[in-house]
Amino acid sequence: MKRVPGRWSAPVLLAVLALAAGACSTQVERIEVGEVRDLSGRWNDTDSRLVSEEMVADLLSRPWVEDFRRREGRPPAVIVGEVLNLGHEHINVRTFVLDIERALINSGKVVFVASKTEREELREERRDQELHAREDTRKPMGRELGADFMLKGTINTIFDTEGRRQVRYYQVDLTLIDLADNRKVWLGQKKIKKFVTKPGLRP
Amino acid sequence: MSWSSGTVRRARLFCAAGVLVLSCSGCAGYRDWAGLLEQRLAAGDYDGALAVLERHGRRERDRLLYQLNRALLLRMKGEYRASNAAFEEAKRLMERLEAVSVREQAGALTVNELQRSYVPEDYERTLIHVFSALNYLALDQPLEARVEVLQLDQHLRQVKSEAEAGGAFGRYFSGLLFEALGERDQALVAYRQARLAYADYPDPDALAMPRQLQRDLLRLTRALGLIEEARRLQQDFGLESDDAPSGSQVDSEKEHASSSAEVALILFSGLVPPKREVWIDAVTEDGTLVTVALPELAARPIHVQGLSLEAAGRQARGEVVEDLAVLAAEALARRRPLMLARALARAALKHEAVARARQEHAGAGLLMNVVTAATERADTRSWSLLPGQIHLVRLSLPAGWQRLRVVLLDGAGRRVQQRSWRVHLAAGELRLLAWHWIDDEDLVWPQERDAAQPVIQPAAQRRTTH
Repeated sequence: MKRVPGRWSAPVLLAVLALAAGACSTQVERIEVGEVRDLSGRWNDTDSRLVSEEMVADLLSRPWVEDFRRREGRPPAVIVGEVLNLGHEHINVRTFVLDIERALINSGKVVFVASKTEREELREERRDQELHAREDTRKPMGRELGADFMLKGTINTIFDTEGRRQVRYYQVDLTLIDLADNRKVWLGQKKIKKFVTKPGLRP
Repeated sequence: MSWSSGTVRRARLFCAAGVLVLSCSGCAGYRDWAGLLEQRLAAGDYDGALAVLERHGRRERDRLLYQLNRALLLRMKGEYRASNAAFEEAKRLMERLEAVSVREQAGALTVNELQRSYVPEDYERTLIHVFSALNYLALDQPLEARVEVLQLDQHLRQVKSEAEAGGAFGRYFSGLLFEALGERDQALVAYRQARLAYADYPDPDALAMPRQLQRDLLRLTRALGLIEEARRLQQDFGLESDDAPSGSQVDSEKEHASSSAEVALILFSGLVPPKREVWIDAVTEDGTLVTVALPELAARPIHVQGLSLEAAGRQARGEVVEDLAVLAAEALARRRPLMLARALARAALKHEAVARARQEHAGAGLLMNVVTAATERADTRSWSLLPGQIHLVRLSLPAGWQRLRVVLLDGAGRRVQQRSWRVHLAAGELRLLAWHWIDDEDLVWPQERDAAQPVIQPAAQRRTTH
C-alpha cells in the first residue's frame, strides 16, 4: 500500500479545518422586521405585531369613536391599562402594549395619554421646573389631559400536547372602558392557533 | 513503502482502542467532583460552589445539568433574575434534547452511558417550575409565577404517573400559588389533584397526604359553597370541627379573612441521595474481562427533619410534603431495565472487539480489553443539589407587620437553627416564603463499592423484601 503523497496532506487538512470552522461559527443574517420566521412556535414579535394591528384596526372602526367626537367635539383620549398574561408562556407584554400604543397613535383618530409610571416621571419634571426653569418656559401643574377611555386586556393560552406534536392556542381579549361611567364600549378578541411538530432527531 | 495487511489491521485495532480512549476523555463521572460542589454549598459558600461548577460542570453533554445546578445555586444566593435566566436556558435545552441523537445513542451502546446528553427526570422537571415560580414571587412578579405553574401543569399532563413525577407536591404548590393570587377555584382544582397524587404516592409508608392539605381542601370547598363535598372530606379525613368550620361559620370566616393573613413557609431540607457507580465484573471462558457499570442510589441522611413557625403568639409545626429519595429511587428503577439492556449489549460488543483484537495480536487483545473495561462507566449524573425533603408549614396571622420565628429541628426534635423574618402582611394575603437548608451533616460521601453503605431501593422492592 502506498502512502498518500505529502504535498496533498496540507491542503486536505486545511480544507477539513476550514469546513470544521465553518460548521462551528455563528452565522448572522439580517432580515426584514416584517418577515415571518417561526422558530419554536412560541409567541413572537410577529404575533405581537399582527394581533395589535388587527385589534386596533377593529377598535377604531367601531362607532364609539364617532359617537364620542359628535358628543364632545374632540377626539377621545385613551390610555392603555394592564394587559395581563394569564398563559403558559412568559410573554413580553410590554412589547405588545407598545405595539398597541403605536398603532393607536399613528391612526390619528384618538389622542393618547401617558401611562401611570410615565405620568409620575413627568410630574416630577414639572416640580423640578417650578424650582429651576425660567418662568416663561415653565409647564404648570394641573393641566394634564385626562383619559376618557382605558384599554385593558388579557392573554390566555390553551396548549394541547401529544408526543412531539402540539397545538398552541392563544386568545387575546381587549376591553375599552369608558372612565366616566365604567361602560364597556368595545370588546375585541383575536385568536391564534399554531400546530407545532418537534423534530424527532438531532445531531 | 508498503504495509502488510496484518500491520494495517493491527494499526486499525490500536486506532479503535485509541478512539475509545479519546471518546472517553470526558468520562470523569459527575460524582468525581459533585462532592466538592455540595461541600461548598453546605458551607454556605455559593460563590465557591459556582466556581466548582464552572470548573468541572461545563461539558457539552452536561450543559443542561450545568444550567440546573447553576440556577439553583443562584437562587440560594438570592440572584433570582439570573437564576430564572438559567432555568429558561435549561428549559430551552430540554426541548432540544427531546429529539433523539443517533450519535449519542451509538456512543451509549458502544462506549458508555456518559456519551448521552443529560436529560432530567420527571420529578426534576417538576421542581424547575417550582423554583422558578418561587424566584418570580421573590421578584414580586406573581403573574410570571403563575405562568410557571401552568407550565408545571402541562408537564404533569405528559407524565405517566403524577405522583412519581413529584406531582403531589407540585400540585399542592400550584394550589398554594393560585390561592395566593386569589384564584380559589383554580386552587381547589390543584388541591384535589394533589390529593389524588398523594393517594398514589410510590411509597405510602414514606409519605402520607399532609394534614395541612386536608385542612386546605376542606376550607376551600366550604368557602366555595361546596357543602356536600366538604362534608365528605370531613368524614374521609376525620377532621375535628375546629379544623372544619360548619356552614354557619363560613360568613364569620369571610369577616375574619378581611382582617387576617396567612404565611406558608416551604423548607427545602438536605440533599437528594446521590447516585454511585457499581461494577459487575466477570471473566469469560476465553479470558476476557467483561465489566458492566450501573448506577445505584446511596442513602444520605437529612439533618433537619422538622420545623416550627411562630408569630403573634401562635405556633404551627411543619410536615413533610415531598420525599425526593422516594422519587429518585422510583425514577432510577424505571430506567434500570433499559440501562441494563444497553449495558449487556455494550458488554457483548466490547467482548467481540477484544476477541477480534486478540486474533490479530495477543498484545492488541490485552490492550483492547484494558480499554473496553476502563471506558465502562455508569451514568451517575443527577441534579444532586435538589433537596432531600420538602416541608411545609402554614400559619394564620393578623394582618400588618409580623415577626416570624422559624425553628429548624433535627430528627430527635433538637433545635438546629432558627431565623427571624419581618414581613408586612396585607389583609387577606397568603404569603409564600421559602428557605433552603443544607449543612455538613447532610453530606455523606458515597463510597464506591462500599457494601456497608446503605442503598436506596424503590418502594416496591423494599416492600417485597420486608
